[in-house]
Amino acid sequence: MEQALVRPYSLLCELTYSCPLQCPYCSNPPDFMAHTEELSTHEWLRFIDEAAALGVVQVNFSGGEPLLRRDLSQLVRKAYDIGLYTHLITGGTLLNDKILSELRSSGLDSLQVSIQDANPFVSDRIAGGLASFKKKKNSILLAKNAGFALTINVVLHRQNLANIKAIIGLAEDFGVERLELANTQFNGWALKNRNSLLPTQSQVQCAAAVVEAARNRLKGKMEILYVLPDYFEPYPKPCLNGWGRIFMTIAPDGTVLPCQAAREICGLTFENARNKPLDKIWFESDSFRMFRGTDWMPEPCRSCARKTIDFGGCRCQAFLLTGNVQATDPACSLSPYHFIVEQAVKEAEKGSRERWVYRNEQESKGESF
Amino acid sequence: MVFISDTSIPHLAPKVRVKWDHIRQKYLLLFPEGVLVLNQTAQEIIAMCNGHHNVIAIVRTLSDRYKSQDVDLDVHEMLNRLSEKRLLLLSES
Repeated sequence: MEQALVRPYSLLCELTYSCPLQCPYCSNPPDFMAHTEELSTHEWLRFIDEAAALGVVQVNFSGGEPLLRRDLSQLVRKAYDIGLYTHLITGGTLLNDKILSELRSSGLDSLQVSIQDANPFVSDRIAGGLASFKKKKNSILLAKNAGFALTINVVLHRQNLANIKAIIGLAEDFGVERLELANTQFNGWALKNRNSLLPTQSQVQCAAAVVEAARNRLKGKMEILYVLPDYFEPYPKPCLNGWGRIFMTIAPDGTVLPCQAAREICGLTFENARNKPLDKIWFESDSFRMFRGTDWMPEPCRSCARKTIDFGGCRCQAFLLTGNVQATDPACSLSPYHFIVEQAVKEAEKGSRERWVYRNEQESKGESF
Repeated sequence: MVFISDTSIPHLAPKVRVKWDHIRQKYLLLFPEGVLVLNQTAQEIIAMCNGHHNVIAIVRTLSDRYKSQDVDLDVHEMLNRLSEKRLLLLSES
């Protein structure tokens, strides 16, 4: 009964899959080139209204690079005008004073800029070779001057974990109030590049100690979020705090997803907001109801005391590693497939360093047949 | 460490918004990538975090209203948690 009353708090609007960067752990689906059609401004405005009526109170604008959409400020203003909290997630290379002041007057509440490392050369290499770091740095300073509440986001992996102290130091120098250190989640592009991105156990432990010390030192000055790598944890992440429970994503082409990575799960069909109102999709569609709550769970989740803590972990990871979307997340030490994760961790200790595949249009086209 | 004294005057950081959610019939605290559903007491504490009341005044108001000794701890716990996340900012009287 109670399940029927669950309403989403948060909507992720992925405005475009286009991006000037090519980070090898991008959360966009590997076959993004098969979904290049984009919603019109009018459609986005309508879906933001529908989302608010459904219970959404917070809208995150992301991509690809959301600043490639010329209507971004218009969409932000719309969300602001109907009382939603707005947050922009950007790579930061396209920000300038004019756009910042436009976003400011549209009511944007907070702004998140990614950097790939504290070292400009490493950052540029991870982002795909263009000189992006300098632009990002400049954007961060401009955004600060414009009075924005700033979050810096850094995805962590084998190639930059050793620099974590410098990364924290840089965020401090920037004077931002929030630093999000997110260990790579191995779905999509990151899974393709796991051999060059998966860290070693000792890298992870050293980084955790550095973060802990910095957190204590900076308490009340800068909030540091540290998302642990689930390959090294005994239990899986409470992915999205449960499928179809709090979050909803609208992809650039209008596909409505419980999670931005979910379109990688073969065999699931997702509805499009163009064809059906969001409330119908949220409450009635198979794609949202399938893993809502705990009734769908197999063992060992079904009888597990943690089933309402981690909700069986990540469905995408379960599918990608075991081929079975219903399975317990193999990151869980109780999963019968946990050996897959252990094997990968063991491989990483050997120090294999294949070259990674950049996330770009050419590589994506190879995915779509 | 965040140090909150009796004379600290808390106010909400500019990035934080309080919203009445008419669908859920609750007050919410909204901030980057987070939502806090406020219960009655929490909402009353937040309402006083407007830069005009110090911690003593907030504790006194809530103790009088609820005739309870535990309010002191509740208020401190909440102010501490929100200050650590920089959702509340403190000034001194």
